[in-house]
Amino acid sequence: MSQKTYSRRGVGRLGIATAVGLSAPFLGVRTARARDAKLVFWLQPNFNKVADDLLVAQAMDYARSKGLSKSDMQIETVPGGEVAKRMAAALEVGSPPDVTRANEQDLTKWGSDGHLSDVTAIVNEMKAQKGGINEGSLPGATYHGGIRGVPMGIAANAAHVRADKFREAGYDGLPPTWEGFIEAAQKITKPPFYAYGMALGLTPSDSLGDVMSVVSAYGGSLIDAHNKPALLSDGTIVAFKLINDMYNKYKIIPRGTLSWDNAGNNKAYQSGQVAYVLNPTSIYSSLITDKSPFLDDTILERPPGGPAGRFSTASTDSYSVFKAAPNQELAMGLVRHFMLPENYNRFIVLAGGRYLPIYPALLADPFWDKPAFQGLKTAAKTALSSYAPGLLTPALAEIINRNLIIQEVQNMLVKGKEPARAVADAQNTMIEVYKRLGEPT
Amino acid sequence: MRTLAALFLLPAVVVLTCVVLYPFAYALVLSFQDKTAGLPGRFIGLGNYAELLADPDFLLIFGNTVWYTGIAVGIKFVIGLTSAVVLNQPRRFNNIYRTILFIPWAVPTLIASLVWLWVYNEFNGLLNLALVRMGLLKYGIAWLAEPEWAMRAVIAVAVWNGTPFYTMHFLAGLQAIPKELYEAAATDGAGDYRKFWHITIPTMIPIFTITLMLSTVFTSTSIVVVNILTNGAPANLTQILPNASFNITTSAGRMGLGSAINMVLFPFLVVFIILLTRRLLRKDEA
Amino acid sequence: MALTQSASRRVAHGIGGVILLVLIVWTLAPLYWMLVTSLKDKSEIYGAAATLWPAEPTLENYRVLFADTNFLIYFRNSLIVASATTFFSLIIAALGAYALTRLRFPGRRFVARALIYTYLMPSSLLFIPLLIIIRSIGLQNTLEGLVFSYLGFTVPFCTWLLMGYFMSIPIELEESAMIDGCTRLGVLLRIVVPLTVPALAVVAFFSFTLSWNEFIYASVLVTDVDVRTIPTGIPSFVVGDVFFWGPMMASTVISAVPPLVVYFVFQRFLITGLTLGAVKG
Repeated sequence: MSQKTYSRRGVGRLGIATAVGLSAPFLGVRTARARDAKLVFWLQPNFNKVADDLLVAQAMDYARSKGLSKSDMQIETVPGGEVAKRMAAALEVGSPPDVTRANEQDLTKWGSDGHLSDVTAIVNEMKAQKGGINEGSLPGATYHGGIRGVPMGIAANAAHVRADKFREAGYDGLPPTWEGFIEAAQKITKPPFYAYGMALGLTPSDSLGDVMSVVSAYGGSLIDAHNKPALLSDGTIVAFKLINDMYNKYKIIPRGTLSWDNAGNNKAYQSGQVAYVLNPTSIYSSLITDKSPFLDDTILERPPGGPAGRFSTASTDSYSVFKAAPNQELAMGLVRHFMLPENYNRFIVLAGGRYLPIYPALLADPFWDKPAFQGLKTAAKTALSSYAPGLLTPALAEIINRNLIIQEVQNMLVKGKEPARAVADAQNTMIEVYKRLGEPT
Repeated sequence: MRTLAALFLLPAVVVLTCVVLYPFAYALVLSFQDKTAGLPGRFIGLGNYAELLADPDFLLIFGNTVWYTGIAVGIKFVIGLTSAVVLNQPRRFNNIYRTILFIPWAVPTLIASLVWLWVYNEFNGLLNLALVRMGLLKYGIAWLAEPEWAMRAVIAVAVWNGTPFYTMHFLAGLQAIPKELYEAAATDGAGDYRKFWHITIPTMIPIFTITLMLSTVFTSTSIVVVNILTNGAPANLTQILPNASFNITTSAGRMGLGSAINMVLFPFLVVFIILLTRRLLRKDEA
Repeated sequence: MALTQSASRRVAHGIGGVILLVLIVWTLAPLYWMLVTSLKDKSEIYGAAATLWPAEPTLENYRVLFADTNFLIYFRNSLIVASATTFFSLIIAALGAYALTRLRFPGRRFVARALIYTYLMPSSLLFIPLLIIIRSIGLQNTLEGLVFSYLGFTVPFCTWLLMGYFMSIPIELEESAMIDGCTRLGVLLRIVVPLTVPALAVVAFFSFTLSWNEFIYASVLVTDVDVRTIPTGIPSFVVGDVFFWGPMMASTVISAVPPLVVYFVFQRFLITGLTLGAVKG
């Protein structure tokens, strides 16, 4: 053992460090507070700062009108990717937020588990507005005899297409069929530039949309009209084979897509590495705000089609109120406030195409006259939900949240699993979950 | 003396009971339940474990965990020991080299993973840019998506971030070996090579043990590297148990199954630690 | 051909130098990329114009980081949590390790083993039950709650390390002090602690970095922006659909600084400190 004497400076330094350590806790000590806010709202960022700021301002306006102080209104920014994690914990300890946005899977899960309040009254008020609302999402939002989510926007996927690249390859636009697309894509792909920024990562939203846009073109679907698993079909197998060929044979998809996160396709497109992505128009609005050099060459389109038709995919997001909210009226009031047509229209316009309005009448706003949005509107009109012709059920929500379908796609792409096998295995996985949750198969 | 011991140990026992033992017991109970976050659980005995064993991917993920931990720990050990030996040679500016080799430990794992995610980027990452510039590649490789590269890439990050822990401990150990031992060996005519194997290594065994033990535990139970870099892609080839557990618990809200996945790892670690520390604790008793 | 002793030593030295160079390159390459990226502007980071060296270095990313994000709040919180955790775990671990090495009592071995096992429990298993506890004592959404939870992994880690160091102090010193009428606590404070200053520095350092690092608990136990720490604040740059590599790399550069400062402060103790405990272990 070596004994060493320490210089005074050495010990002094250690002393200072310890002093810092000692005093630090007292600098920032805050009193423990279980919950002193009267209203808690989880704000899920919209990838667009102005729109987020507007939501905060509207929420604070509402709080003021109800006589709440600043500290009574608690707005927590929870990024989309963190909602599941935080909500699982929050629900378990019984402290969910009072109000939050919910995507379709969230709504199904929380609604069917009985955590959400009945908001039918708010929806009825909205229906009474001039022009009514798009009611397509309501059947899927109804659980335990009431509507559990106030539809707040339609996220329609549009193909973002680099027209210049297709022109260079000798096409005057996006080819209308997947076969035509592959042909063009092979001419366009010159690594490191790729034609198709297909999202294939283990993230729920984008990847499934991309896969289903191919599957539906060939007549496949996740479930049938009776909500039973129906992935196993000739159409799906053809589509899976096509995806496999695009990735492994024609190599028109960047290899890295398998590990992309939710923003992977956005980044690839916005930095000019791919010529085609399918995404809500948040990409397009970013191109505008960033003054992107690719803005002028970008057109919004429907994805290519096949024998069964040419479909985009769309989903509806909602505002939900939790039963655990101490003051139901206050929480419902916040949703009402957001959904007042004049407040709502300002949000929709600032969000720059992230959502199509839930009130069809608002499409009359000059904002939607931009030529680029014509393609989006067509896409929205022909959009299918990813679960068409059925409805999202808790079992399907779990399958989507756990990326079980995309897992099988990845097995096919990197482990050489036969497309037919991959589809059959995905179908079996689905059936297992459906059985466990007691849903009909 | 008993009272005093109890008094001294009290804070540790209280804290650990609250934040480790109770949660662990809770999680153990959960693993026998079909439990969704926010809803009451239902006791299903070994149902969750049966579901795991029936899942063909579970074996893959289990194997990945062992492989990931084993290889990462092994490489960290070798690089750590090499670094320590090299740093122990008399050399000018050794202080600076030591500091440089230490930096990765100062970078939080989450941040190290993000930095590497950016290094590995298929289009604009340093690795691909450098390889393409040097003419070794025509265009970038998607390191984190290619089945043959993904796991290696993930392990490299764990190694990069964790090696200094070994280097520091080993360097300290080397410096603690009494000079007399080497001098005695030298008079017996032992060369550097023999001295290394017959004096350095045996003397360092206790340090090796502690370092390996602590590092194996935090390598095999930390989810951050995998979670940030691949989240298991491609096709679960880089998925490890703690991350799979975290995903199931959070994205599907299946707390019971999530707990069960993590529990599977526990007995293996316990056995590993018992094997590793048997000699150490016996020595302590002596 | 047999080399002479000094020649072989020179060869070993040369090989060592080469290895050292390789190790330094391997260590610095990602850090270089992080630093360089943080100094580039958007167009240089993305697209075909990607460069190995910033053509026009800019501090814009740092401006964005400090002006447009809550990074400073996260940074402050991380600093508070890591320092407080270090402080408390040092006290708790020093008391515990002393009892386990110096006081003979029944169940000593059991407690020592149990300590190692508590270190085994992964946070991905414990986070929800832990949240239930933290909430029931009113510490959800507070920095104190984080500190309390972090003690769960720093205490076993520190106690285990300190046990090794305490064992290496000759017990005779304490015995003579006891004869002189010192109490046990007095012995701990006047004899053991001063002798193990380096060991305490090492342990302090490791517990600082461990808590600076923590991710899962931080992302579940606190939701308020005011009490988020760096590891949970930084991902909020990633999840947005926007490019954030520039400011993110800037934030990573800055968040590596405190552990480095702590390292520099403790450096002289680190190596000797490790030595002290390493002999026994």
